[in-house]
Amino acid sequence: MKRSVILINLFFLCNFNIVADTKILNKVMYIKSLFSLVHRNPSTHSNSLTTIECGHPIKTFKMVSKKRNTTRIVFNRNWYLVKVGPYEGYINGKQLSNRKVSCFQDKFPKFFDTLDIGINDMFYWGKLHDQYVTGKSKAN
Amino acid sequence: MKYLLLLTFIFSSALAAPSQKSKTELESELVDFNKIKDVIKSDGLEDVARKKSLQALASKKKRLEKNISRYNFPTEEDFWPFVSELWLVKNASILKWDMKKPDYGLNKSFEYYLKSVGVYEVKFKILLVDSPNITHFSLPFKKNEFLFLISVPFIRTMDLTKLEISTLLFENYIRSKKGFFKQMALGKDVSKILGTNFHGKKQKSLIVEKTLKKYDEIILGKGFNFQQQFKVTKDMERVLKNNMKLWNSYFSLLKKIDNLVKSNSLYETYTKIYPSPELQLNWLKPN
Repeated sequence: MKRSVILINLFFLCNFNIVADTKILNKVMYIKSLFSLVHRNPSTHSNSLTTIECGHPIKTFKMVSKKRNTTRIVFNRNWYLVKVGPYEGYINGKQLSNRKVSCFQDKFPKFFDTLDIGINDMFYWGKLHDQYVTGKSKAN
Repeated sequence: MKYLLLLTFIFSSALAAPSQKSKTELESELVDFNKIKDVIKSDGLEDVARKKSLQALASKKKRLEKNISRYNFPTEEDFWPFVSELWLVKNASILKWDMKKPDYGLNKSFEYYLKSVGVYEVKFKILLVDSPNITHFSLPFKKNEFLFLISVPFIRTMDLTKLEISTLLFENYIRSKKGFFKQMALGKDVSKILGTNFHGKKQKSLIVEKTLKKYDEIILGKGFNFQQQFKVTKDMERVLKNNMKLWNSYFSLLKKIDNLVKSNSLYETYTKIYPSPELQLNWLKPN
């Protein structure tokens, strides 16, 4: 009897936590890589939902937990929760910029059109940017 | 009755008189611009009209220029990162960089290495490939940003340490700084076209296709020559001699590679790309 009561309580507690997490709009950001992938989960190896081109505006969201009248950001580190058209997924923060950057395809549109870059290439291009190990020798 | 008729006639003639304007009145109604030219001039209306037409002309010219600039070929600075990444995308199946990569912590170790040899404010991207078709390479990229490729099977076969991987990457950094790859990959016809405009020219340019072919030749075929390797090795010696730990690491790394290419048939072609570890060791040995 006790066990079942504890289990029911736990179930309600978990349920309450899930319901308490709400998604709120953080800010609009822009894609800065030539192509970028939206992933199902916040991981480079997670399935991709769609490919987006450089300069595309993206709505980024925060997951906020409202518990005991306090607001806490649950998830907003290297990966951003985004909504692109009908897709809701995650983009690596390295591929996003607060301002619209000057993209290659916008600078040289007619040259870019002459190249046969298919959907497969766009997908791989997005994947390539996820695969890079990046760094900088900072002077400090 | 007669009086009544007379009165009506007088009234009607009096009413009809004002509708017929006199000649002088008509003349005064017509606007003679020659007469008011001075007035317009003094008002500055002519200047405003001229300014407006000049503005319209300038905006039209700007619009035309913008349209023509859409037909620009990329400059050399924009071309290299684009074509290097395009080559990686087109050769994804050969290089197999699309893999769950191990976390070697290369970003931290290479950053530390660069700092220890006094190279600051340099950005880098490292791509791990799951193929022995390529061992290690640096592709042309941005002015202060470098793109390195390194093979995971090569790292595993050689059992390379973080320091040795960083040494290999640094050798590629030196090679890239010397611009050997760019010199070999950039054809004369391509260099003439870069940064120009092709508005009104109907033929499709093949600069990308030609450059990608050159990439294939260099990376998978002929590699670098002895002279270029000598220059890179001597530069490495000059930089690393200040730090004996790093110099010893470079020397032992070359020995390891030399043994590998002599014993493992999978890496026989290595000496074709980077001639040759044995000679490099000789160049490093004090006379």
